[in-house]
Amino acid sequence: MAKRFKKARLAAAAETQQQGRQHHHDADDYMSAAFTVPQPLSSLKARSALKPHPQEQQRTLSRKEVDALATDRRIEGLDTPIEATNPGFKLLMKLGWKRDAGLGKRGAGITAPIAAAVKQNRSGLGHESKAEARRAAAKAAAAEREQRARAQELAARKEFRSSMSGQFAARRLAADLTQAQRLVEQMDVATGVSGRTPLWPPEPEVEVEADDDGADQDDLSFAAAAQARGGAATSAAAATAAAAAAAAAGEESGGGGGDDADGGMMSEELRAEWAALSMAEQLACCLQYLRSTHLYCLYCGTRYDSAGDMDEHCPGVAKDDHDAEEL
Amino acid sequence: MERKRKLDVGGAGSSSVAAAVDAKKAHVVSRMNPWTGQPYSQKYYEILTKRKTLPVHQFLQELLSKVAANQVVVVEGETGSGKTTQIPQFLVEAGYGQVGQFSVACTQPRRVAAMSIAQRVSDEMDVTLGDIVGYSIRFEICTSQRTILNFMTDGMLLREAMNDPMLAKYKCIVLDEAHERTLATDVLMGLLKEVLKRRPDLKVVVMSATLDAGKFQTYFDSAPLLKVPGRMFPVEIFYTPEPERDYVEAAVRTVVQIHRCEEPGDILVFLTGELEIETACAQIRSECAQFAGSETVGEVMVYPLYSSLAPQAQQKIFRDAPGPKYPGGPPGRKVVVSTNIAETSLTIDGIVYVVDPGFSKQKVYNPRIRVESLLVSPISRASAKQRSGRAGRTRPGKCFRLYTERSFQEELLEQTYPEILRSKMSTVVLTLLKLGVEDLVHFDFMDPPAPETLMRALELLNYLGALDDEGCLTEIGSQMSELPVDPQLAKMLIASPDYNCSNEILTIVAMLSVPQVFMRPKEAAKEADAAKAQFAHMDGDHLTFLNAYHAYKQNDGNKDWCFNNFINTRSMGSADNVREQLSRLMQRLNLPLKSTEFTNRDYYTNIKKALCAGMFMQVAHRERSDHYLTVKDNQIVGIHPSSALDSKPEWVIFEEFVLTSKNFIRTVTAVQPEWLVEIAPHYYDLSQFPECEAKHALEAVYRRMLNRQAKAD
Repeated sequence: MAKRFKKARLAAAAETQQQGRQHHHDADDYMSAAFTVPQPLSSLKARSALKPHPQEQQRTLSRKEVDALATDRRIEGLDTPIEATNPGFKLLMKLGWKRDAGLGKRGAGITAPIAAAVKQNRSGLGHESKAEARRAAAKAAAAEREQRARAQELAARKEFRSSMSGQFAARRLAADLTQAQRLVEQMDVATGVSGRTPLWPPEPEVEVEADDDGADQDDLSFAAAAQARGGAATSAAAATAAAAAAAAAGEESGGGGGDDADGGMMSEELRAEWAALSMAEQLACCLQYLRSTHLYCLYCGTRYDSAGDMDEHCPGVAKDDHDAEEL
Repeated sequence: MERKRKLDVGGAGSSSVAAAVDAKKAHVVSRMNPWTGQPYSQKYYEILTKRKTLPVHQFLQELLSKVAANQVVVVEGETGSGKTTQIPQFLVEAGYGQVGQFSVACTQPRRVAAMSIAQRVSDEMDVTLGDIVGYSIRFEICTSQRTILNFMTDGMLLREAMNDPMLAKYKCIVLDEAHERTLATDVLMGLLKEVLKRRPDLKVVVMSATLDAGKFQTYFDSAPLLKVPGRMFPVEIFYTPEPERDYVEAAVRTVVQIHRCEEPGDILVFLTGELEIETACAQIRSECAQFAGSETVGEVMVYPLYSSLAPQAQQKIFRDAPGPKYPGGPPGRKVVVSTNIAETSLTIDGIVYVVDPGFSKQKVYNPRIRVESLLVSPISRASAKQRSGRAGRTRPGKCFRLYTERSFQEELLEQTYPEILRSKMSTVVLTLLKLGVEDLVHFDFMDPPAPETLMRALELLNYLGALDDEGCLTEIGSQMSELPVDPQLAKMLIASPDYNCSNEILTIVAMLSVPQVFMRPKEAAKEADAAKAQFAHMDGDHLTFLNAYHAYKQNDGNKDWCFNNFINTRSMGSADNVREQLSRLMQRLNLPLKSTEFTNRDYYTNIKKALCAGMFMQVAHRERSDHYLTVKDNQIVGIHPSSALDSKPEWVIFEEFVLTSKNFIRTVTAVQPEWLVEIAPHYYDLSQFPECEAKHALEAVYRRMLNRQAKAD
């Protein structure tokens, strides 16, 4: 084996030597040709005027560089379709060919010529594609890493953005809830539905702003009334609102009555339950209550004449429904 | 009896038919050969016995009834089924050939095959070649008035169609080796589809070896299929676990390993070209020399096989493997290292092992830079199967594929691209137009070529004056189509009387039409180069060809003279023949054969000008940076080392632009730019020229010419 290898190498060396010699020979030839072929002055002038590159600069191209250039030029040529200005192109069009179509009975022929790939070595079938695959895999891995990094950055940015918009939404929600609770209280008071419920603004505020002496016994009737008046309210939100109201009534009755230990316990429970609701759920309860009890829509800012009137004119319970309307 | 009756239905109706079909009966019924009127020879009966064992034999009746009922029948048969020799003569005997009326044509992709099959079949029919059975190949027609079975190259049938568009003289056409999908076969099939519509009596039998018979069936409107099993033994396939770093080295290693470890049986190795094959042969010989003293490993004989090899050297591959070194010792082994000619066209008996690196040289034409080359490319899966099949001809064999199974599945195409997708179309376009095909764009090719390939063909023919600007054939084009050479060469021939040198151009064209005139055996390269130098003309290869031909004639085609001067006798013989045929065609076209006096100073100038008349589109210009650029395509090329040119002229014309390790132009002659501009002003219209040094040089040429004209006025 080793013997053969050596031989092969020797042969290769001899070949390159020969090529080298050939090269020198060619170069000499060129010199002689260049200096013996007489050029008319006008032509030389015209040429030098048009081509500013000094001859010396071009001569510095080594054979290797020329070969590389030839390969590049060839690949470029092979990739460049024949232009529409070519007489052959025009003739084919005249014969009925449509641009970008194939030939044949159904025009299903190939549209580009078969590639001419030049194999420069003796590597076995699959060897190059294996090396290429390895290179491609490395490249893909690098690309993946980069992509992952980019994705991470993107995710971070997105998270930031969403957390910002989340904060914004939360603030918005809180504001809406506060306003809704205030309205509930206001209207309850105005319509004489007395007795505070969790739908009213939270207690500390209440303690400061509103008195708790008006608490009385008809909390249950409030719940019943809420249910009766909101007859149309069959949605989950309404049910929740009703339940919450009922719970609140119970709580209030306990809190308000003050003489019933059980009631007091219930009140605590209900309060806890209310507190357990998310802010959005609390808001939903308030909204539903305003609608069913007071025919009022927070987002329309309107008190409707009847349930029918409301159904007809209010686009919906949620804020989004109203936003969509505006659009 | 049943058989005979069926036969009559087929339209034969003579006892002579039965003679060929059923030999036993023939013995009794008739001992006379109906074609010659002579009794059958002993040899006839010997061959007949063998013929009857061929797998195809039992399908002949079925074929006949299918042919009777359909216009087109597809026959799928493995190599060795006997379809090529048996089916055509059976059709003749069934009445599709009638002396003096109509005949059967059988096309072959290769000239050699057409000739050797015609010989074989005339032996089988016990007739003289050229009488009842003949062959037609380009520049050689061996038929008579009585011929009713004509083996011809597919290209030859296409040429016949130009003068006989309905192929009226044939009742049945057999397209053999259709799976090879040569350019001519593809064009013929498209043509036959048209002819069949207008000739309901015409029958076509398409014979294919591989598994894509379905494609032919679909193409010929669901033609019925006849499957003929071959005689094949199972072949075990081995893949390498990893891709090979060097496939030649791997092939050598594999051969040595087989020789050392496997059972007796000959080895066939597929490589891509002459140089590679010779290298591998030398390496196998030297590697196997280590077993010379071994008692367990036999002798080995290594033979190369490629088309440019001398015929005597080619014959060596049919020698038997060497015997044991000593009585009772291990038998020797024959190793044939071949190009893909051993894949289909040639069968070597005794091959049990096949080594397949998965490459072959394939012709590729690219219209974008107008390059046509044989490039080493991966083979197709169909080819790989064909190669492995070669191991199972005599007994179960083994095929060693020097690539992974994954590569086989993923990197190889199912089928090799048909030649029509890898070829120039200029000759085909000329032929089709001559045949009256008007709609080239929608011609029903099985695989239509790329539009750009057709564009280049139209462009060339238009610049040569064969087509007008509407794409119609001109008078010159019609003349060109009569000459069975490339359009550029045809144009040269037609223009040559104007330059007073038609005799010389005729010689040059003939020399260009034959393979490799100058031989250059590796072991005597220096001597060969010295011999060629005697004929070398300083202006280039075309004139060198002319010198060589004149020298050959001066020496009366003496074989020894040829041998001593490294001239290929066979090529020169066929060049002489081609020249003769072409000169007859020239006379028929009323093109006078003229020569300029040799002593006239314009003798060579006239010849070179006539060359330009055909080749003004194949020009390269030497740039100041020493390399050549092809005109208009601006490809960097070098003059092929085999060229006789000893200088680097500024402008050259070339026959071929080829890709090997580099871009080369081959068969090159120095010309003057003034000639190009005069001969082809429409091509050298500078407003249509890309920016390059050549353009500036041409601008100067135009200026000079104007100045001269002004002075003259």
